[in-house]
Amino acid sequence: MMHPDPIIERVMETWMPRFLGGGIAYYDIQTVLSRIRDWDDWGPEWMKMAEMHEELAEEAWKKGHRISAVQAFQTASAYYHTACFVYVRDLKIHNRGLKKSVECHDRVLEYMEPKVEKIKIPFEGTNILGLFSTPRGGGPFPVLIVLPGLDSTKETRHQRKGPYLRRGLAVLSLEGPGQGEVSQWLKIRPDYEVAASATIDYLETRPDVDPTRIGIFGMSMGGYYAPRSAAFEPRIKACVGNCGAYNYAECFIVDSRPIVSREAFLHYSGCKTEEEAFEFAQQISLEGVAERITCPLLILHGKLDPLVPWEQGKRIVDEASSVDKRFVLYEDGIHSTSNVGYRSNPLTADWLAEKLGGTLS
Amino acid sequence: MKHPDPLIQETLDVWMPRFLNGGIHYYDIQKATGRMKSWDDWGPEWTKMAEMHEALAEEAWQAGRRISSVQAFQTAARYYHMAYFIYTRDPEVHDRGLRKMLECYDRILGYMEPSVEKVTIPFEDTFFVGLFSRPKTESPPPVVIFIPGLDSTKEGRHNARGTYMRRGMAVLSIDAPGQGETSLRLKIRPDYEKSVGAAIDYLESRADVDVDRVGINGASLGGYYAPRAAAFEKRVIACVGNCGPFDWSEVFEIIPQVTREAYIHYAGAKSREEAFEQSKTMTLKGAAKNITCPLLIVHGKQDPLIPWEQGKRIVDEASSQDKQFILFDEGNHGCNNIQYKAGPLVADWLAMQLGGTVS
Repeated sequence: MMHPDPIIERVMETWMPRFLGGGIAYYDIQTVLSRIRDWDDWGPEWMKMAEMHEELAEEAWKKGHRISAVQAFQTASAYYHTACFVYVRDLKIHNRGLKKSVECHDRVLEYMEPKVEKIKIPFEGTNILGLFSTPRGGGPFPVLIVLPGLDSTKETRHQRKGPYLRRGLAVLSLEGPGQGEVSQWLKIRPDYEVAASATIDYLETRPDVDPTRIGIFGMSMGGYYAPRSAAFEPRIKACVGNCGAYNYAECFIVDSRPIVSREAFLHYSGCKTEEEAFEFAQQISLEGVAERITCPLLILHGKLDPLVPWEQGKRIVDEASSVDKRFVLYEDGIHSTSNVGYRSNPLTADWLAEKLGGTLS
Repeated sequence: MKHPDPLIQETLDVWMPRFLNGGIHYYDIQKATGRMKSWDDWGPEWTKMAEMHEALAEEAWQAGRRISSVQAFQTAARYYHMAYFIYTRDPEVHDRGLRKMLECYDRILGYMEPSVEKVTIPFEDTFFVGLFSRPKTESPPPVVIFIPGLDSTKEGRHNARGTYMRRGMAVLSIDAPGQGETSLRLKIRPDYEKSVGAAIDYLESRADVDVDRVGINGASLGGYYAPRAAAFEKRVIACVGNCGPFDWSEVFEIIPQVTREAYIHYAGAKSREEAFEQSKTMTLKGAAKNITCPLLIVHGKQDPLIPWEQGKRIVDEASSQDKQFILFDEGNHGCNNIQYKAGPLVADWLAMQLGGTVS
């Protein structure tokens, strides 16, 4: 046990490997856990920790230690993200964490290695956002659209671009409605395919990518968005979902789902009550939709996932019409298979590289 | 996560951040330690875990998934290191872990990114080994020699090469007597300056580095070796020590039992008493004052192995004009828990001393 407060304990059980994998130092997690009494303290204490990292970044920057500063600002961004991650009880803190996370990241955007470009994608009279990087060498490259989940962001997803770039794929980490920075002006949409289509329209304007080789990959709630998009958008040539829902309403009421995850869903969907959220969640469904998927499909799931039962993932594959489809279940995997990432990540990257004409060697 | 066995719990308390930084997965640590009843199980359980990772690597290799395989063999190497890390109770398990670590690493040496060259360094009438990498610069870059501690290795230290290469420095990580691969043939020597001298002789034979700009960087017992070398080897022009002892015999009774057992092993001592006698030769008494090059010592105030006063004494007694002692109040052994503070500080300091770049 890591914490006497049951909510915090549940959060740590569910996401400890995710925090560590996202660049949060173990010692800082211990320090924050020792300072917080209950969940209400989560946001404020992580804000303090993030501020410490931002100061380190600022100090390095002022001294002209640019390499260190660029690294430290990205670290600070990841910590600010942790402050607002599934923490919506104090919306001022949530929003400030989100803004600061973006601010720290964007401040050093032009110095990142490999290069990262921030892009605006026109969407229904407004816009959605993405981070874009290309592999070394000359294009046009196949491109992978990476989707965050309920409460991850384009910044956290783009941190993991390296393995895809190395395999010859360009990466566009997207924030559609309800996600990250974009969540400030657009709420969750069950018909995420409209965001994917807008993104592909944008990609078709870029000479450095090959629009006939577009893949899509989402984790957690992104594991619903990705197959949903593949069902309606024929320009997607390969789709990976990791621990996504077939029907979000069915997951919403699972006992083992942390209460804070439900709270975050209310916030990002703009619902006022649990009842309203449950109603809305019924629209987040692949019923009658999954059968429209025809492209190569890979669904990964952890059998111990407490948020989205593994049968949800299996149902996506069962109902898809794809000739080339595969369901991989990790007996000991938790949500997003983050504890066995050394199994699921290389598999995902290699599978996508193979389908999209990247390289495995 | 408290383990009922006090030796295992102590090991986790001291080294958890180091294991995680070194690429050992949290979930695997939970699983492996969950299976252990006592310290005796440390080596065998980590060996099993390493075999699982090696199987993943092998599978990827067979499938022609080379990028994944190269990554996985490096992971397997790190896990085999865990199997013998300060675990010397069963020397067969220890040695097998070490040999398998080397085998996994060397197997994919030709595919590493950034690339790594394994080098042999003539030493007295024998040799020791190192790993070398250099940035793609036109003119010969300065070079930093990475020195492992009691039970770290050139492979583990060389993981940090990217940080240094990005700052315009080449990196040579060595396994000198008593360390890693070389420990299979040569026992610990207090006069580590001879090893560093041999490493610099070797560097002089290469045309692709600037031997007038050699720095050294050691952590833990390497934090003794580095200043010791700087005291006697004047070709060293900048020296960093992290949580090293001023006098090893003064901490001999303080260090965790399993660390003492490891020292007895690597020193080739027959008994605790003999090891204690040998530890008295591992000292900077009368030596620290010979240090004249720029010197940076960092120490964690919470270091349970080497009290921070040991590090301070090195700086106090050094004759260097440019010397600095940085004490991190919350730092543990090796400052592994606040790597985000100590790591960039050391890399930037060396870059500035050696004429690398910080931007």
